[in-house]
Amino acid sequence: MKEAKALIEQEYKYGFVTNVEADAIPPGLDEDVIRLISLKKKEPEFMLNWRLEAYQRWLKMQEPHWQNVSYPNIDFQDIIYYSAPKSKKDGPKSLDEVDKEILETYEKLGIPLDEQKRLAGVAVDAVFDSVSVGTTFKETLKKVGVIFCSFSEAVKEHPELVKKYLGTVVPYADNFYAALNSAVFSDGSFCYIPKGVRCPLELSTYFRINAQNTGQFERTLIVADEGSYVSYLEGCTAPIRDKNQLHAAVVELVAFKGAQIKYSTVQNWYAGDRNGKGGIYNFVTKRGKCAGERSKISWTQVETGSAITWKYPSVILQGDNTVGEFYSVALANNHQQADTGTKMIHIGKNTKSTIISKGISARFGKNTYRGLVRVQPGALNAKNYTQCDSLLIGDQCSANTFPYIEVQNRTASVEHEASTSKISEDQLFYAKQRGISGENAVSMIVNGFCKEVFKNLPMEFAVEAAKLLGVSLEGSVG
Amino acid sequence: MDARAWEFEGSLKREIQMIMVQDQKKDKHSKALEHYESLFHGLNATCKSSEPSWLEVLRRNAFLKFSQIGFPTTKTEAWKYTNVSEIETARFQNVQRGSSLVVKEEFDQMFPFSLNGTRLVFVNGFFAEHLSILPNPQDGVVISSLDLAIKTHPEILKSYLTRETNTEDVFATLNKAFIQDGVFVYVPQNLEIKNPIHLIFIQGESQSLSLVQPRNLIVIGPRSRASIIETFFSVSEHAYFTNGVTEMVAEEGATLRYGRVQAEGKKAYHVYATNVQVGKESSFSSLVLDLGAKIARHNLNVELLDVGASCNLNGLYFPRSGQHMDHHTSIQHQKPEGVSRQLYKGILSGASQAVFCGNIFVAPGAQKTDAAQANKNLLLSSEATIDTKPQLEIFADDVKCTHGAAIGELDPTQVFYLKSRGISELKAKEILSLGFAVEVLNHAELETTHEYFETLVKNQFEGNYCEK
Amino acid sequence: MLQIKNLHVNVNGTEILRGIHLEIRGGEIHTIMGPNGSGKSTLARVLAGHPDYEVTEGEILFKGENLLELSPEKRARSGVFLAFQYPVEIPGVTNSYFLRAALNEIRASRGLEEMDASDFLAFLKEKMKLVEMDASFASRFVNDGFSGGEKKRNEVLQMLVLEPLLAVLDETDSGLDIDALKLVSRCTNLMRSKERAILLVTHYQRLLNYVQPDFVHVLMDGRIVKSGGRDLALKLEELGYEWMREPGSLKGA
Repeated sequence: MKEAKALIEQEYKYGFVTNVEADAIPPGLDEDVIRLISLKKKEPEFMLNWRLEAYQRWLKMQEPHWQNVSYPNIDFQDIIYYSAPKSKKDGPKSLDEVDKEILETYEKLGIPLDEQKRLAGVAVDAVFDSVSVGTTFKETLKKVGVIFCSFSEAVKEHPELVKKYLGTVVPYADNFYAALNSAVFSDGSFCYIPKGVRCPLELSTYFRINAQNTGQFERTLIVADEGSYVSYLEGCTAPIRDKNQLHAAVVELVAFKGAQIKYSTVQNWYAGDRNGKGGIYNFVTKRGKCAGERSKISWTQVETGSAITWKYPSVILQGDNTVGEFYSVALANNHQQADTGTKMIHIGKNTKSTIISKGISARFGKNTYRGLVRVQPGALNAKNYTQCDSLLIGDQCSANTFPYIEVQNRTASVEHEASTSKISEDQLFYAKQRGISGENAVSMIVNGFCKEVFKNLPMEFAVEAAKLLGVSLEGSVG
Repeated sequence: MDARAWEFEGSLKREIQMIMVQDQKKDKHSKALEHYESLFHGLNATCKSSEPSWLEVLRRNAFLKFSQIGFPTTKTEAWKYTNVSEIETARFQNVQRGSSLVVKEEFDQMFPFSLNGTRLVFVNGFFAEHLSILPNPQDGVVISSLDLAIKTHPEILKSYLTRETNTEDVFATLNKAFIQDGVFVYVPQNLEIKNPIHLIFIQGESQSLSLVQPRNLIVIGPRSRASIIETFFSVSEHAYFTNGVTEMVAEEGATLRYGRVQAEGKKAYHVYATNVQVGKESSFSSLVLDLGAKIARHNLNVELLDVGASCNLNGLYFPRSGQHMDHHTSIQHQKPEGVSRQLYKGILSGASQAVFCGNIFVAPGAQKTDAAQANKNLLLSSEATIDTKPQLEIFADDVKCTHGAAIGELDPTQVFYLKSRGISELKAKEILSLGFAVEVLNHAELETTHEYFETLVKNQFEGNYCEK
Repeated sequence: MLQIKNLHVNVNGTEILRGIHLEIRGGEIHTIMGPNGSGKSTLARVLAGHPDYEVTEGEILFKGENLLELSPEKRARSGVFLAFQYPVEIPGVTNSYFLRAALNEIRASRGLEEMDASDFLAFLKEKMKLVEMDASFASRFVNDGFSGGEKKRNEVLQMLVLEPLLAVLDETDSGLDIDALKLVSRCTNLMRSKERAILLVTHYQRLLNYVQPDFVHVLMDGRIVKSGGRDLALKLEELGYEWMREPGSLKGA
């Protein structure tokens, strides 16, 4: 496939650094650091106590090593746990007050925070390093009763909601990184959709790591009350840095009776250079709970960035007739490693889950799908369909599939299919014989491979994802 | 790998409980090891004079390794779904050679199948010559008990038994530490052994808690053909433990067929490893049928070592109430152009459990590998549990690998169709279940032993169908 | 339009074509016949620039240009079309998307404007009617799950859409029932024009009942052993290929 060699190797587009003065605390972690974070955020006491409990628990936990990825030990005392762009006042009250440099950063990223220029239909919360720098369309949302704000704001403005739902899906003791996040999380997005409301806008959070040696620990909590609907988009980028940076986020979703949450991610953290230097460690816990009957949670993810991606957006299908979905495209190019998949826990009757996973490995990439489908004894007529396909480009990469299927109910119907393929010389020749260039043929075939996932993304995101995949693959076929 | 860590960790309370339990467990582990140490010394005392020194060294090193690792827990990934603490805590005992004598009439009554060809019968793990039918000697072919072969062919046995393996399970290590008897088959090049070679292991009624550790070694030379059928059979009501290993080598261009029937007694524990090495352009096919035992585990490891090696693995398991059946298969495609096929099916009734874990590994450079694996399960009872884990690990790009797993009930439209033709519901289910199983029999290349397996499968379903 | 001079081709070190001479002018239809393994498909694929084939000697001129120097996509853009004997499946990529990408790249190379999706669909629909393909084919994945006949018809459709200058049909007639054969023939005849040349590679003369060739060439053991008109095909049908192998038959027949 020599035509692919002709593909110009494109540098990571989002690798610039923004020069803003940061208010950061020195690296390291102890109780005082947590108290300081909480103080800086002017949090109520319950929040601080929760953080401290999580920290105590974290101290007793061990870093997990079962996953199919390898990386040097992380020195947790060498990480800056809080970094915020310094602003003249306490915090931006409106977008006008947001630092110009930051607004420009987001513009460069293609995330318009300026409401004037904004295409109708998406409300954005932007998180820069550790803090939210602005949320758009607040007024529109307010009219229908939707709360969409930064997590810090929610802690202050809606403590009762935060207190009620925080940690109900991902308890702080859930795992090592969830505990760490619970102790030190700095910001994130909070979203509450009241009963019967169909959120009129796509909600979106844009995450950006800017400062050096900083860990980003954001936390997102979405609560969809009875009969409501929300579609939420998440995007991420970071500057090019030689040193690896840790990103350990937690996302919790709660869907009540008849509610529907659609959560889409396009993850494009800096992946490291061609030789595997630098890049983000993306260790994330994402879980949703279909608490009420007929509720539905749908995860769609396009994972093209990060040096290491390690996450399993999961759904607990607690209510009867609930639906869980997971659509994923994960790319491991150069020296990237991805160990990702989902867990579908069927508890209620007539629960249904669908898993479509597309893994692409190129150059030295290492891609692992790991998934659990569990049907509990009471989950009558539970249904699952899983399809995991791998596409390998080059003979130095690898693709692994590790599904776990546990069924304790005879009325369950569980189906798992997996296949592996490559872009064949014959396909390339066929396309070329029709006049299509090699680069376009590769990108066409890869996008075809991912089609079932892309169609679940909102239109604009799908286009962006397809482009991103093309760019991320450049220089990989050779 | 800590398998549990991946699951949702529970509350602090559970953690504390775990720590408390751990202390008790430690005690359990060390007591078990002490017990096996005494068994090991007991065996040494009786064997020392008769066995060659290399074998003694081999056994001693194996025991050392076993005592370092110890019995697995459900935290060990490979034993996540099969709890062997019952095996660990039971105090099984070595059986003395010749301790239980079964006369031919008794045997014929116990084992009601007439099988053609060669047959080697073992009672409580020891070769019973009077029950066996050995073929006329053929140029260079060796078919004998392992015990005898150690004396007659020490060099060959030494070279195969002392090979280093990295895939050895701790139970196989334990078996190695207690090597005493089993079967040795050696077929030189360019020979076809027409009739299947039956290896029949029966457990007499004699004593409770016996520990039987057979070890078989089968070597099929270049371009030769042979079929080996192992049957583990017992009507014993006692608890006993069969911990066996069969090692097979199919050299370049050889064809090896392997059948295995596990029909141990109701209270038996059965842990068995079959390790197969398949050479250049040679082919291995197998059918394993699991019917008996309380807890049964079979590890089938197939290494496709050279270009164009192929394997076709088939399995059927029918656990009923109180039974736990676990199949772990591993296929390693080491070189290009290997082909592997795999079809395992289970029918679960009553409060039974089954586990299937199938791993397909494609090494770097093993291009043009073609691997397909399927695991299908029928759940007939609401108390049955199935855990299945089909896995692919692929390090080459020009390969075709697929796997699939399916779990479900009998298709109600099919049941209805049969009922509408006047067939009772029970009979309809029986017919459909049998049909589900027969696909595997047809998929396996059984040739002359097809009938034997078919009879065993039919017996399982006819009349005594589904206790719910 | 096309000049092949003393073409020698190797596949995996074995010589398959051993000195082919052939000239095709605009407006002509040529047929290449020959027994299995004679090198017919090799010739077709070499014209398209398949990477498995190594040209060891000779040259191919297309519109006076050295075709062998061009990459497969450049050959396609300059007007060479190959209807594959065994078209490959491309799951996930729809027929219409694929064809529009191809057409637009070809148009761009000729300085023409891109055709937008809706114009293209209307254009494609017309062409699909000609090959009696259901509209749903446009949204099906390229050859994915197509029957043998459907694949062949899809090749013909692509030819109609891309409007090449030189169309090479590699056994497009094999495996077709009589109705499909007539349809393929009708479309091939539609393509016939003064500017365009067609090269039919086939086993059977039955195709020639519907498409009148100007020349028939017999390819055996990597060489064209005989050329003639329509009658040659009939004679082959009657006598088979073996009679040509006999010594002296080259002149005598």
